[in-house]
Amino acid sequence: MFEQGLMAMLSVATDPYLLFLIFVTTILGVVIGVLPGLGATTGAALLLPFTLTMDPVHAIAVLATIYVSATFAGSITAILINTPGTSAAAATTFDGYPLAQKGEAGRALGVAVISSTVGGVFSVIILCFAAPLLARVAYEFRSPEYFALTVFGLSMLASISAGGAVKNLIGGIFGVWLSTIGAERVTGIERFMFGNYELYEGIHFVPIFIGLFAISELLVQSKTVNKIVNTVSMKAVKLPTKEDYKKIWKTILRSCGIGTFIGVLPAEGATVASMIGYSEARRWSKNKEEFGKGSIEGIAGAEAANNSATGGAMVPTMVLGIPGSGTTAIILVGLMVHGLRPGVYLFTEQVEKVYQIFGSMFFANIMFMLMGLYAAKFFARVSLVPTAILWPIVFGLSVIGAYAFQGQLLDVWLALIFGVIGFFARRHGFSVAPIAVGLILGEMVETNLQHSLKMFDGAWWMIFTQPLALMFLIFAFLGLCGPYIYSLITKRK
Amino acid sequence: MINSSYYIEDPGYQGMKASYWPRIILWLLSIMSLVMLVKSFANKVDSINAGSFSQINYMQFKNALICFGMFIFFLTFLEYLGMLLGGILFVFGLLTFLGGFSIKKSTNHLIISVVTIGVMWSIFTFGLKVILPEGEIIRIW
Repeated sequence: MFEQGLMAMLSVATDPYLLFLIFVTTILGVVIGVLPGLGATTGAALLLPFTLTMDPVHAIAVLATIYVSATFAGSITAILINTPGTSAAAATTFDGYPLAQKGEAGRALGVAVISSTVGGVFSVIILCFAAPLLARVAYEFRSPEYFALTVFGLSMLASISAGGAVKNLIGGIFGVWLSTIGAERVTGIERFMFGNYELYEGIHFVPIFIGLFAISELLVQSKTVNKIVNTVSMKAVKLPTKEDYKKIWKTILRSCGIGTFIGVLPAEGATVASMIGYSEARRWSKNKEEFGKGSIEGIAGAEAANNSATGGAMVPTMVLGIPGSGTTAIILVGLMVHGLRPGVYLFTEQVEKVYQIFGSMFFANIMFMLMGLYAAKFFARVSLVPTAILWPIVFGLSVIGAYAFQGQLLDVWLALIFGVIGFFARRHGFSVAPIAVGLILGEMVETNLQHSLKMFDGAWWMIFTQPLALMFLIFAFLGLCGPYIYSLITKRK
Repeated sequence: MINSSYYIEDPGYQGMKASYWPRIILWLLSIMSLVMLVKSFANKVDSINAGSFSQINYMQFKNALICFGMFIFFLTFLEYLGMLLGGILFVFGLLTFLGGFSIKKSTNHLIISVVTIGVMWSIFTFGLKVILPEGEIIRIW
């Protein structure tokens, strides 16, 4: 299987159209990444409708390339204007901007580019080996195990992004509730349709995602029409010197491991990875006093971790159908729309397609490295594009994209409604990613619970007698209650 | 919603009834919301910054409300104006409302709206062969 996969990966290099798509999407991804407010998730949501008419491999390659390149590009604005283009680059501002202020913006960007590329390529290699192995383990899973696994995934929403555990869980449960609208999958009984038969098939993911991620962003940014941004001057991106490499290679390797591991965990993502990568870089550094003042180890730690999380997050997405973040939730929808059902089947029946997607991620990493090294100065200027120009583009892509999916005006109304829900959620400190992930997992968890109950003739407690299912449920319990139990114990001491 | 979950039809199916799962979810949602409410009461609030409900400054939502209102207007008249004309009018109107009005600014706004919406409409219509609402005024096909 590995040989077949390797050949499929290499075949990407001989497909000029796919390479062209990766090239164009990398440029788009970098542009989206440097524009504050438009991260990888919004970019993927906006591009999802474009991919509907594409071949499945090309479509997923486009979405995965956006994910990889936008995650890297957030560092450009983090270093030059102290505004992370994506939340995953927040930790890069701690040392990137101070170094840029010292007149070493080029050096800071060089370190970020190299660290991101190493992190991204490392995680793709791990993805190639880990995903089929996990798929082999998942082959043994039946409905009770999948039910427990999705419950575990839902419990991990508590820490998916900023907002706090309770708010994230509320968002996730709201998403699960949304998945119950329409006809019930097993019996076909109508739920919460209130006479609207357009909702019989349920609410589709595409308009909801466009509303939650793109239209809500449009509403949030409505305050910043004439905002002026200052950028730090920069001559050219400098590759790290031999001395720099000596200083950062251990940090990069450590962050690659951390990022990939965190990415693999369901519902964890690049933002958490970069924060941990940064703090671990500081903990193990001999020059702790440099951190916060322009340490290249700090930049390398955060950047290698956030880009290696991208490959890691694709593992649960493709093998188990459990998205690791908002962006992977959109990639998962892309897979489903194109008839590629995530899971064991994908790794036994569609090996070539899977490895072509992995290959595309590999080439996307190489392309953003070249763009980062030779065109960062240009891309940094893109961040100065006024919101007045950015808005119509986001609006056009959102409305036309929501309509284009099924040719229904209802979808555009739904996108607007969810845009407003997303706007108020963000205003009150909720993250919208848990709603998206909850929506996807909601259907899985209910269907698998139904099947499990059928398996055990309605004896729900039998789920606890399955060792793997029990293990996942214990993990879910610990994920939810662990921090509270720990704080209670430490308080008593 | 909890109430309406009690009206979901259940034909005596052997496994889990169709109403059970949404009811569990809605009760969980209510409990979590209650937890958040209790937590918000427990948190100390700065008495100077805390305003009563009537004192909430709706002006902070002004731009978002304009945006939302225009969106509804756009969607209501979409079938009459069509995606191309409706989109251009929406973007131009919105930029003028939020970005300010002057001859120079309005010219810029018009150019931005025609170019951006025009390009995207062309990509979907001619590139991706998606049939977008044509409207009653401009007929392409």
